[in-house]
Amino acid sequence: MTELAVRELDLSDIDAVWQIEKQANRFPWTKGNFADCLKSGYHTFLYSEGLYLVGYSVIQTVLDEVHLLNICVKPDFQGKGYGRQILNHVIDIATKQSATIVVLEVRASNLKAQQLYLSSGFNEMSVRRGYYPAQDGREDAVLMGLDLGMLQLDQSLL
Amino acid sequence: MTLSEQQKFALDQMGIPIWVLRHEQTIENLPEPLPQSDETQSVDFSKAWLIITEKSLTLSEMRLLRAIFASIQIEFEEIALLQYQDDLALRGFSAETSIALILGEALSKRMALKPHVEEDCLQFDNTLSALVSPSMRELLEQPHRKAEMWQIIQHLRNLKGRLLD
Repeated sequence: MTELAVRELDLSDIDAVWQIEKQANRFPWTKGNFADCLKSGYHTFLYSEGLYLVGYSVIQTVLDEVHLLNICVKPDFQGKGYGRQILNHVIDIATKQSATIVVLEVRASNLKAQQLYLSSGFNEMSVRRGYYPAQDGREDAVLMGLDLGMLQLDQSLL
Repeated sequence: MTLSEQQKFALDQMGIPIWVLRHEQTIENLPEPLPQSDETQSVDFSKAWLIITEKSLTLSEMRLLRAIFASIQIEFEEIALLQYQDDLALRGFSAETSIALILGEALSKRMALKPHVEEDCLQFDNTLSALVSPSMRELLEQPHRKAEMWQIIQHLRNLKGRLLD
């Protein structure tokens, strides 16, 4: 799999990012949400392969805690391991900042994403009842956390 | 418990990840505490951020301090660490170029500080502005105080923006 190119998002990227956000989510963030993240100084990364935008991530750092606010892979590129590559980049950023934990919320129904997080070392911490809007009203969020004090042993190095 | 190579191989074959304690090598480029007063001439007084501690920080305290400043996009290279006993070095920092953060309420009480004439902070005799935060040890032992620390670190960043930039 190709290694994704990474750069920080700027205001001129918001339209392109929002197109992906709409394609990938039934309840997408607004353009204003992305603009607010930039204004607030959150780290927002764009990932691309050649000329193609593959996905993005948005993280907020509070002291030694990194909150993954949004992670998304364009539907055309899903199922190819890019989500894991983007998640690993976020974990790498958090580690370089000396953070102790990465936390995120994920829809209770999004089992595929939860599987990705579990296999990357995240654990379920709690459930936020009715956190997300959903077709039938509200949906729970599963709060997950990765303790950066632990590191997965790279078997290929053995 | 240490796993044998055979056990690691078996776990790998079953797709079971192995977790180990993260090594300390993730701590890089940490600033050295400033030298004591007989070497004060070598201190870089131009650093914008001065952190005053009661004593040397442990590795975990240092890691937390670095994370706190990283969260407001300040690299550790921009920071000077000073132990409070070093009055001579402290006097070398100017209100024109630096702003101080004192780690620990108890420590701040031992220092000659007075309220700032204009800002919501404290001042040393040489007008160097300062804020007081919980110590790193207190934050590690009482994580609920991180909310307080988050307010202070943002106040410090804004104060620096108003007074120095």
